[in-house]
Amino acid sequence: MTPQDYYQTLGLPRDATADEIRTAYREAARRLHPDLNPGDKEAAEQFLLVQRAYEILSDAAARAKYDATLPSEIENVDFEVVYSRPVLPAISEAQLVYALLTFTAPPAARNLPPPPLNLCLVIDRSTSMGGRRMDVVKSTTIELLRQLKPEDRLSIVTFSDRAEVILSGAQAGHFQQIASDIHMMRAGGGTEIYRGLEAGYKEVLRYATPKHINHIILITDGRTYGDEERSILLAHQARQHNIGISGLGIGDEWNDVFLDKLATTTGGSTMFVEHSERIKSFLDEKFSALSQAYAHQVKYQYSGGHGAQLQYAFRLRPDVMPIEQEGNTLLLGQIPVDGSLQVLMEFLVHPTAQGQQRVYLAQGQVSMEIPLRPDPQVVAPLRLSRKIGESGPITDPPKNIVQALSQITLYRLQHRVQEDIASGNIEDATRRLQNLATHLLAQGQSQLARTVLKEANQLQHTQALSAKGQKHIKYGTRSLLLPARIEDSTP
Amino acid sequence: MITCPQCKHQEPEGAFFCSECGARLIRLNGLQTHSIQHPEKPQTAEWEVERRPATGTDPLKAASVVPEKIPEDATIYLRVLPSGEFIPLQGQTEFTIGRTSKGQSILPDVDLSPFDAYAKGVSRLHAALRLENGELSLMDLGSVNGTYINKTKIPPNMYRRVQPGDIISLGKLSIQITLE
Ligand SMILES: [Zn+2]
Repeated sequence: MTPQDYYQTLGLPRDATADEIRTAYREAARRLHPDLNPGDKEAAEQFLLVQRAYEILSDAAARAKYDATLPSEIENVDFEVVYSRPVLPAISEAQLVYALLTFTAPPAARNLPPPPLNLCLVIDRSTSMGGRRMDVVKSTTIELLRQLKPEDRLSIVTFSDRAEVILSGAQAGHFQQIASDIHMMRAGGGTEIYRGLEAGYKEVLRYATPKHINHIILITDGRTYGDEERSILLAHQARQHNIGISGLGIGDEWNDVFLDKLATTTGGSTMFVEHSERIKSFLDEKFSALSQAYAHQVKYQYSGGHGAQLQYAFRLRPDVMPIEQEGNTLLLGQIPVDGSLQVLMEFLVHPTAQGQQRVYLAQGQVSMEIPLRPDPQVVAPLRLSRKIGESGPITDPPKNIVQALSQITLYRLQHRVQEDIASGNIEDATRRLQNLATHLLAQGQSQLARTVLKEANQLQHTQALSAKGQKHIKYGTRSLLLPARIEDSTP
Repeated sequence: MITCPQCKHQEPEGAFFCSECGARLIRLNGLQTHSIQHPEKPQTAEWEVERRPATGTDPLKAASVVPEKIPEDATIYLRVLPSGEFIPLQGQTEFTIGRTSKGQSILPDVDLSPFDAYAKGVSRLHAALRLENGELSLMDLGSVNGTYINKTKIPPNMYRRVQPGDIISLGKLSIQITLE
């Protein structure tokens, strides 16, 4: 049995103030008092626990000693939240507060064997994929096959206007036959992504277990027409079964909004490569990222606090993606064995009420799958809140939040540009691109800045961005947030 | 509410960056920026420049130690803000920057007159930019309204190291140094 958590007993966050502790204690003690609950054994026990909790938490020294023994709020995961402000000022207008959530695998996880993979590569073999692109995809696929561990399963589906299962749940070994099948793949036909996804989904589902990391990697260079909606519905289905979808877009023509949507729906990621030469390194990276997952399908189900509203969430590690809010669930992604899952959230806090002591930003629970645990599912309550009151001496906000925001701001500027253009507001879009270029230059990103300025110019002449420039800017500003910069996003 | 000094957009309290134009809205004391050494804030230039942490840790040294050499084949441009027009600097290693007016005998190498220089308080010979051993430096030539590097006023008649990305303000006119 786990030792009593005094904070939970009193229903308090770990940074509760002395006032809050007192109030919570009085309320609980009144409710559970033996005089009011004659003969109720459970209430009597609860009453004792509440007494004990208050004894410790109301004594600053005892509380500090107790705090030091507290485990992470989430079982088997190191967890930390940093806020942009320690205390929110009591003001009669709305204000912003940022929360940076970091989930880290325990150090011991590094010595554990990696979880087995159950992957399907869904490869676009439409006419445009012919030549060099297809050659690279083939050779990379064969190489990935060689890296399979005994328990891994790999499926391969190709699609154009129809889908074909080239490989179904193959395991290590039997390379000769598989390799020759892969070499037989020929480009030709249109791009109907739904067909490929559906076949890939069936393959992954067939071999899916809670012990496996189940994932679809879609490789495409084209736009799909008319089946986007069905594809997104399929992504929702995949999500129900803990199957992630990641997209690799090659060249300029693919639909980034659509691929991003597939990925954000399922907790996957989107990658962009301009030249076929980079396909290999990106697939390698994705493969190793997946096989280094400690926990996956990390979700935060929350009900918005009354006092605040989530504006957006952005994943910063292990890869960079905006996170979509689906109802009241945020699919955060996966925790790598040797790194962290890090998510930045922006909350708009409503004007505070007189005498209000704390604002709840979001409350709910975090859940995740840790394949190596006997029972893979881990669930823990998570409440995000801030005290309200006199702010002490003004201190700098946490550096990592400021740094992340300086770059998220650029990504969001880029996004605003798309919105401006969509609503015909070319003047604003141009001005925003010029601002973006200035900030990029100031950050030393001169190549990306040049692309931005070129597009600002183009925009004035054609009222639109080039497909290529638009992708460079989007994925370029996104990759600014990566710890190790990937150098592909420059022309 | 916080009013963005750059574009006047209103952001809620607690915002760090302007969502309209991306300008930074907060002053950071411990973090490395160029405005640290001189807390007095000039009224003119409102551009914040943030360096990535990799460029050094000591803000006082940031301007003199960190910069990379400028490659010999690179062309330096001055980008006039906010319009974004580029002025290439070519054929010389030292350039005077200013504006022109009738009957002026010494003309600046870089004439900012087309950019509203007079109204923005640029002097006729306002500043000089020098390229030497792959290093750029800027000197204020005793201008009336002063010269700022990333919002920090520089003393006249002394060269100060600058680098690509820096924003120079001559009076109220801002230009950014860029490299091609
Ligand atoms: Zn602004």
